[in-house]
Amino acid sequence: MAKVKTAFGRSPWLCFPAAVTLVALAPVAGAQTPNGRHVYERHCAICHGVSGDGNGEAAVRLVTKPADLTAGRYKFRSTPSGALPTDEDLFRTLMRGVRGTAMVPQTQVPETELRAVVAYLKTLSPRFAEPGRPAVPVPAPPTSTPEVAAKGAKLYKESGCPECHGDGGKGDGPSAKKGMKDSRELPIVPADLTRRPFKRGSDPRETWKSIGVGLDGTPMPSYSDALEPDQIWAVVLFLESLVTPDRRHPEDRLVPGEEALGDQIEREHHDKH
Amino acid sequence: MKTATWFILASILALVITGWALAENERELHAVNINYEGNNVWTPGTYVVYKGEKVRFKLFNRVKADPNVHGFAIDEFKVKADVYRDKPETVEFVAEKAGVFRIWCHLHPAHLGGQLLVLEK
Repeated sequence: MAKVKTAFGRSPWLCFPAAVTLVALAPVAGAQTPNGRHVYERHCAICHGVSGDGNGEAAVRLVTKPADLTAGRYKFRSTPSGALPTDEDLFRTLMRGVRGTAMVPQTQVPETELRAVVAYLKTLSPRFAEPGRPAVPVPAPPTSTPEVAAKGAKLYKESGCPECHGDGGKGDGPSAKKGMKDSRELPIVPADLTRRPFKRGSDPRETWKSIGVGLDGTPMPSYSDALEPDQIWAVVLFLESLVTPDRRHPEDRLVPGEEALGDQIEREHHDKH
Repeated sequence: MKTATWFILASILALVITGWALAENERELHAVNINYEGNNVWTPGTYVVYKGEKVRFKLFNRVKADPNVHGFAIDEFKVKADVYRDKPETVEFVAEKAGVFRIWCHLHPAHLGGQLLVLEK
């Protein structure tokens, strides 16, 4: 065989190990951008289902059913009622979890993989083809004083909140006692406003959002058409005054409810795979 | 025999007239909750009945946007219904006093309600 010289003046066969190395490394290089669908199927489908409709294998074990991700209706948003969540809203829910439910914080999953899941979630519902709307800005809170809390107490009553949440905020209002349903016609219970964390956490700015933009898919409407931003803050600060120290559960541990079950399901699923 | 027959016929006639009068004293109305130009409203906005009538409201929630439930309340007649999307409800009461009464959503007062007008006969 005639000796062939490469541009480097060496035999072309020396390129062979380099080529093999490149081919072997290619999948690893590709793994720098995780495949959202694969991450979803590994971590999320067990509850939310492969299609995202909320009917995963483990869903039957849960009282608070996994969200139907194909509906494109999200509770925890910073955008106006009826609008799609922002990417940050979705990422936040994945990172922080939905406290008290089996959707435990997904802190064991690398951030790049969670971001890939966020992108994948947006393919599960045709609603994401619609244009999104910008987040509603949460104004700075006023100083918490007894006067602001008293104003909030009055607004709480005038805004119809006791009908569902009860006079004392324990989630035992007349409508709650009749038994309420969400948009999927599953039973839903108004939040007990006297304990923390809420499903979206304890940050009062998140509580502001719950009141300001509502929880889509549930009977909780947006009150931004009825209350000014500072009035919403007054109600938030009134609600903070209802919480005694013994009713604040630490968020770095499993919160009572179904978090222990969610944690167990994750471990069982991990062990199987 | 003739007296008995007449008595029976007169009784039947009296019962028929009474029954007809009761039916005349009832009124059935329909109210539909819709989203109009960004506002959730009960429509039509005004309902008129006579004092003493037994009023039956059939309530329909046709609002597609969240929330999935709206209230229908008339405080003076102790009416309060939670009406879920596409799940009609019925409320009944006797309009025992005349006047103009507010119809409102007790779950979310910002939703536009209406008025019930009870007329003296």
